[in-house]
Amino acid sequence: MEIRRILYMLRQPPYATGHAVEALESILVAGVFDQQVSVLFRDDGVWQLLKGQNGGALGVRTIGNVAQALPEYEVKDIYVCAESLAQRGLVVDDLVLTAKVLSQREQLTLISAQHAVVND
Amino acid sequence: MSTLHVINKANALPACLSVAGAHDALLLIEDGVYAGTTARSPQRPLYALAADVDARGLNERLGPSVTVISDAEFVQLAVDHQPIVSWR
Amino acid sequence: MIYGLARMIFGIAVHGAPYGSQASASALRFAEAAVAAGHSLHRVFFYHDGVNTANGLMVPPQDDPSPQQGWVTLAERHGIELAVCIAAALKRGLVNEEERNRYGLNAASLHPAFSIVGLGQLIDAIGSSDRFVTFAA
Repeated sequence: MEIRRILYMLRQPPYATGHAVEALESILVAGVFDQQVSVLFRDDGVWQLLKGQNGGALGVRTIGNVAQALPEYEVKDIYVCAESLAQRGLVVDDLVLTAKVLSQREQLTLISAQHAVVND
Repeated sequence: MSTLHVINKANALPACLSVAGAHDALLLIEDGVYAGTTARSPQRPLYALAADVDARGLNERLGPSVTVISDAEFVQLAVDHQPIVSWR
Repeated sequence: MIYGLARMIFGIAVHGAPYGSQASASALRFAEAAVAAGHSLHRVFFYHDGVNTANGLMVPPQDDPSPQQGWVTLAERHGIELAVCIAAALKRGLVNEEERNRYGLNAASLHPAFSIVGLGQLIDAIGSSDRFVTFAA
């Protein structure tokens, strides 16, 4: 198996469906394989990173905590869309992890450099 | 190599367009084809999948900038582009 | 330009359930067209609600068939692995004989043409393909 550049693009909000948590689980596995894995949170996917979530109120895992584990699983290239944050009145200090903020042009460059893009 | 964006919900098109490059190709499938009735995508090739267009009765309702393609042509687009990004 | 000369290895992921979405049916048509054009497909990875494609206890109405039979036929004819993510499958009640025994369940529900695999097989499918296409929910 060759080493590939794989981008996970996460655009779905947490909790209403299982997509966010299942996508994150997939990324945690990808991180321990010898691949160049990066993650881009954009659109409603940025809500997955909001501080102060409490999944326990719904009897489920807190998605912010799952996302926070990404760097421990060797997923270091974590990006967030600048426009998506601004549209929602969010700033980087509102997020549970340190992510690099990308403009739309930078996202275009990131996407075009990939072997594969997996969505949620 | 340029990217192929596959859009399967009409309301996902704006998000896709915000990060699509000038030479990327856009393909509308499933409910994404409804965007072909109003969307204008100057400069970029905009395709719609024939089976989905036909099923929804949209053959005469797509904008002039939309090219209807077969499943085989979808495969060829995937050969000619990398990566392939899905938007829903 | 001569088309069709580039023979590629495709990887496909299916994220949406039959009846709940078109994902599985769209992916099947793409897979059939890719194989017909001379490309190869080693593995289809079913994830999220896409794993429901593998439900062996479905009784589809005649005029509204599930894509399942199409996948089974394509896989048998071309030696394609139909891979279902174990984590996504178990919580949706999709188990093979082995998992049925492990958890003491009444019945195995996974169609025998599908295999239960770990998430690492998704990464393997991406790593061993020239092009990877996700069919979203």
